Amino acid sequence: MSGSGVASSPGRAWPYARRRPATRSRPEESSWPEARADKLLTAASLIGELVTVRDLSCDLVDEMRRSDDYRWVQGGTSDLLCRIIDVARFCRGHAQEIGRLQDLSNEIGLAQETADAISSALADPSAIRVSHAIDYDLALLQLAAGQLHTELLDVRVTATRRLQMQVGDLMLGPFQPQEESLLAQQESGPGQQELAASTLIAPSAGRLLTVASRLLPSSERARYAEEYECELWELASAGAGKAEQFRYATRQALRVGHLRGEVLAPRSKSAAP
Amino acid sequence: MPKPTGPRMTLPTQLVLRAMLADPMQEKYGLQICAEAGLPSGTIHPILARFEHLGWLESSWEDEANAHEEGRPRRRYYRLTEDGAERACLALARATTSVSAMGLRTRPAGGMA
Repeated sequence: MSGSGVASSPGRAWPYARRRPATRSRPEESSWPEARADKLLTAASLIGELVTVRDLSCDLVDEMRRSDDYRWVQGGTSDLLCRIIDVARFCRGHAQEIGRLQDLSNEIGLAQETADAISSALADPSAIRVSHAIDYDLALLQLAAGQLHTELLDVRVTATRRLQMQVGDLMLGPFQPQEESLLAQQESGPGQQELAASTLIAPSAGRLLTVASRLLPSSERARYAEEYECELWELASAGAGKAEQFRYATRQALRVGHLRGEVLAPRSKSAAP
Repeated sequence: MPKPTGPRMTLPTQLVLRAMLADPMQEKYGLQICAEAGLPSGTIHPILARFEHLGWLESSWEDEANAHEEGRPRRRYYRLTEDGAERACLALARATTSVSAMGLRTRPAGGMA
């Protein structure tokens, strides 16, 4: 196993096939809530992007504090600001796509405007548009960068809380035993025992775990991808249905920010308890 | 007396440590720890990562040949270090006192399979 990702492709034959009898009844109509799966994937991506943009803003603050030379700061931060603006734009798009997140989208928009303003002020010191700055001053821009970072921290906290509520609604509400059976039937094909073995893993859960593992630092990504993959397999082989696998994947995706925080925590944390 | 520093001992954290301390020498994999701690699957990786980071736990991949023989992916096994077991006992003793003071009860290790 490569460990570079989880079984995410519906067409991929799972190498550890363990057969289960195909005793499910055929569904009358498909009811797999693809829209919900898409929303959860988008939510996981949004959280990941907010973590990224928050980290970028932290780098921006550091970069701006490293020098009091205007040109040096301009050179060191322009790329960071472009990336912040781009990621913020993606975040707004995702927030709008998920729906019911207009206030969050507005907050991201404000942070994006702050980043835009810093970028404009650095590019053209004569056109001062940083917040309500009266005079151009590098110190003001540094303050604005700090403000941007704070805004993005707040946005991330709000987003996580709101998304957890939404995901809770999505997960707790409509899943019914019959639906789970339909999901299993739909994902395992038309009652073919051989196919059931290769599609033991719910592709939707696999996809979500792939997204989750991508949000981890690159040094840890392969390890956790493989660990998730193994756990998903264990759950599936213990008889967990597709919906249950998807719940497992959602829990992982919602905690990936915490996991990221733990693996990135400074080593000095290892003080005696 | 200086206030002891260390990981935040939330209830899930305590449950994970209790599960590990039930048999400190035994290696356990993620889902097994979840089951023994009585926590839902998919909730413990941040906790395990924290303790691994602190040096209380160590982890390693299972031998691929064993996993292959059983027809499954290899597992990541976690085990308390010697030092970690001692620290975990101390931390739990302190946390249990606080939990008792709040009138809460933690589930015993190994209570759920």
